[in-house]
Amino acid sequence: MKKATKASIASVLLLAMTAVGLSGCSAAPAEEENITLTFGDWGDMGFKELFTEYHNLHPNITIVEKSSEYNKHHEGLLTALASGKGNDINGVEGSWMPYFVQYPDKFLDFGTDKQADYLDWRWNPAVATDGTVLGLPTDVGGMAVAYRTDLFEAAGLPSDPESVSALWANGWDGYLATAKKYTDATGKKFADSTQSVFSGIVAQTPEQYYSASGDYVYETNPSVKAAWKTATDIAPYAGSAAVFSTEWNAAIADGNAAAVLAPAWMLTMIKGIAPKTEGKWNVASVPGGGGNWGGSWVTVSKSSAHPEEAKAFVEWLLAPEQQKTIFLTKGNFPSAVAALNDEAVTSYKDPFYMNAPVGQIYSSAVATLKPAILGPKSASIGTSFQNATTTVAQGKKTADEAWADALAEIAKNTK
Amino acid sequence: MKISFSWLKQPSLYGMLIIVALLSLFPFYWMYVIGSSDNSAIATIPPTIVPGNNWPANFAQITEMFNIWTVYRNSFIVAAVTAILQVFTSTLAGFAFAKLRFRGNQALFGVVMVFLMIPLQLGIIPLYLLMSKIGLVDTLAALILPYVVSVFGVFWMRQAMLSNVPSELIDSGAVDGAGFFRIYWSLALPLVRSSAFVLLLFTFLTAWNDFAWPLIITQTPDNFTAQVAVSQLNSANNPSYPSILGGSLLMALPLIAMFIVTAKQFVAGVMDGAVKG
Amino acid sequence: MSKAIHISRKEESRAGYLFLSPFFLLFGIFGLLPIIFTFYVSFFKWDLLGTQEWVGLDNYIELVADERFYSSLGNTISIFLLSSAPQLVAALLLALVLNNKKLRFRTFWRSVILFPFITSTVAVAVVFGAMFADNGGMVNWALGFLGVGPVPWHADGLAGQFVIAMMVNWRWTGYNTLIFLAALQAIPAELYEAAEVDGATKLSQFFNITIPQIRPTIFFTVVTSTIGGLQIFAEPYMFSGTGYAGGSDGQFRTMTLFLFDQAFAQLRLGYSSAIAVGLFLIIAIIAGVNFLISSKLVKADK
Repeated sequence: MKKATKASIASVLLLAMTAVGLSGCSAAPAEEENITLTFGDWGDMGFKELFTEYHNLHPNITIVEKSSEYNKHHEGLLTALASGKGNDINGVEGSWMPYFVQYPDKFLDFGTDKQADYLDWRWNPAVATDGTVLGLPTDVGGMAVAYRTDLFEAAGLPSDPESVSALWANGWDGYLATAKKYTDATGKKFADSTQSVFSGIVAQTPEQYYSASGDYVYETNPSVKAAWKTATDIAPYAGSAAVFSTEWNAAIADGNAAAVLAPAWMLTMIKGIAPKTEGKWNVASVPGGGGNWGGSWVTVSKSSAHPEEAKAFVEWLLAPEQQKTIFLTKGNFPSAVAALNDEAVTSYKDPFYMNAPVGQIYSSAVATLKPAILGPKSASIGTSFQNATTTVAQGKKTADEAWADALAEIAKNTK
Repeated sequence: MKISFSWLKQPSLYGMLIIVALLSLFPFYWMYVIGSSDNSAIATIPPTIVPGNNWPANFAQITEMFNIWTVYRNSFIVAAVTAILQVFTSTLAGFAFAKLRFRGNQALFGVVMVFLMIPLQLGIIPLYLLMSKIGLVDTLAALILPYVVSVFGVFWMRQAMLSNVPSELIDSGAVDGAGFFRIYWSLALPLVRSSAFVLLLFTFLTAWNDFAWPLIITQTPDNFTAQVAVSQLNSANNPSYPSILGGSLLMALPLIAMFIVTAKQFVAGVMDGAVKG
Repeated sequence: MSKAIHISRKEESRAGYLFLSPFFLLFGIFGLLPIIFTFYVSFFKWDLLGTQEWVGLDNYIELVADERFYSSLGNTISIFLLSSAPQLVAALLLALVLNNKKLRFRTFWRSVILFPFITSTVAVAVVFGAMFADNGGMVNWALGFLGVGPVPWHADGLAGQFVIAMMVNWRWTGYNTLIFLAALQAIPAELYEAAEVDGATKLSQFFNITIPQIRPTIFFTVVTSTIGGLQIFAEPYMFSGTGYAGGSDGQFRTMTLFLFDQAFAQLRLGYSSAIAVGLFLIIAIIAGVNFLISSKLVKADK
């Protein structure tokens, strides 16, 4: 026993020393001209191959990707900025940008050189009140609806994109009516989630939770209330309450969601969740007109040791040519004007989605899009409403109770 | 009232123990079952309880999300260094409280007892800010420093010193002209070896399994510990249960190995501590 | 001679303070300072990157009126009760089983029941979350044979709190069993022999000898599980699938989750600090009561 104890302690010590030794080796300084830029993001933003390509073009620059989960990434960025540490380059998702844009002194200014390259409404949210440009825009999230043709046919619904789009030509009421008809006919669920329906409808209005003058209008805004009504009405016909949940993943993979509200990046996500459903999906237009869901920026931190190199890399990464490549290989729709008008983009058809002309669909979706007014608490308010729709979907509350509770919650969180 | 504890007799005794053992072990086994199956196995009716043959593919998916060796290395450094330093500071303070005569001994120990009631987790956000002030955010040092001392450890080692180290030993050592540090190191420490070992194991375990603090203080995947890595797998962007459960098992593997090797001392340590505590 | 002793005494004092200094120094910096700073920050409005704005007692005024504070306290206590009470009873029963003198493979059984203790709360949460899935989960499948369910584990507050408590129970029952077992083995055999002679039943022996003898141990386990239970974080965080929000309706929002939600999801560091102070007071009161009761009982035993 004594011996064993001693031996265990000794081995723990030894292993600890080895481990420390190892870490020492890996931290050895690199050659002088070589520069490593760290790039923080959540999951796959579609850049991986481009990191390698840039390294081939500029052999002295290596991009190292630091991926973490979505919330963890943004909290990490937040805390990194507070402590003046962290990655050289960071992705910032749309709903976080209104918060970070309040603190331009933490970010490198991109200036206005590249402004003309991008859609105005995708450029502006990253511009601080003092004129600092915090980052360059990645993709846009113009919306469409991805639907399962086989399931639509089995339910006695039309399955070609024109006729499907016609089902909800009159807007979300048509979508809701189709959902009801589908579920009545098959016993299965129609929409992917109540939360995404809510978010999607809210995204279609320019004035959401804030007015143009920066006041809270979430309580009185009729379009928020309308989104709430449709989302809670559709709950019985939705495969999942929450979006991006395991239940939601299962619904899409197992055919318990016949229609998925889909910005361009969602088409990529569906491929990952349900690879076996290839060739069964098609893409129709979204009810209720244009709207943007998602879309990010890439920023460079002030604390970066190589700001000029980082800036040059980001400018290359998000230039029209690369955005075109990203769309054609990953599916994220460009925010660079030259890329989104490019013939190769507009004529692109996706084989996973029965060769739907997704390039053309998202181009026209972007054309009808109205830029949204966001504020620092937009994400928090949206989350409260979304969680409240879940309580309705779970049968815990009536829509009216949940609405009142959500308002109370938001009032507290926005103090 | 003639109720006897006859159910405590065999073979029902062994039957009951086997059920308890199965309950204890099943979740570990099931992590492997799902971790080696394809994604649909998680929700099949009836449940999947036999391992599949998808382990290599799932393993590849896990390694794509984070570097297993980096995570093991980080967790190991943090847990081992924390455990060793905490045992050192605790035995040193425990020795002073139990065996050295100096003004304020009793009073200072009273202060320690008050500390015992303070839930340190509450200071987690200012602790974060403190780390950021001294430039340690997102370093392994930030994961270690707050746990280098432990109120419980001091309390624990003081008890051990009180019951295992005779006071005459101190006096005889002092008369021999040995410094007090030498008395602590070569006379007292060997006598409390088993209690110190239990503290070492517990601290290692606690540090390896800590979640709330690493979750906020680590930022780049280079510094992720096992628990943060598992929580990364369990995110909306990852629809794969096999990688989540397989990853959880992988991250627990070093502890499982450690437990199997030290099971006897571990069990003895837990029980030993209970009587004295 | 007397001079030598005098020097040695002085040296002994010096050594005492020196040996204590690493503990007090590090504890002061990493333990006390943050807590003091928490009090300080609780008087400000602050979003971490911006400037701190003095708001006096506003955060506390808001806190006492915020029903989320009370509901998260309620959830915490509910999870704590669902976990500690059944766990300690089960641990005591198991300890009685393991205390059987004729039992073979003792070390094996003891190791096996302690095994769950080494897993992380994160891993436990992942596995239990899957076993207790609302649709297609193993537990609902099994309950189906009994004509029960399916139980909406992730939607319903009490059902989900039960699952969270089960995670705690699974991990800690074995540990507490060994603690009880050690206490049982420390009871002098003569006590039982005497009772046997008096013709006392096993049951009355259990209540009249066993329980009073292990009372300090019972209190030890209650105190440790209280302090751990009031700070529960990882299990509800992983189980709810809604991040710091703790469920769609905050049904799994514990005190610590509430604190994190306000700090990192709502970026209200000041309010979050006020929550921490509130939680601190509650734990201090509970710990104090615990301490008083247990010290009284220990005294009563003597």
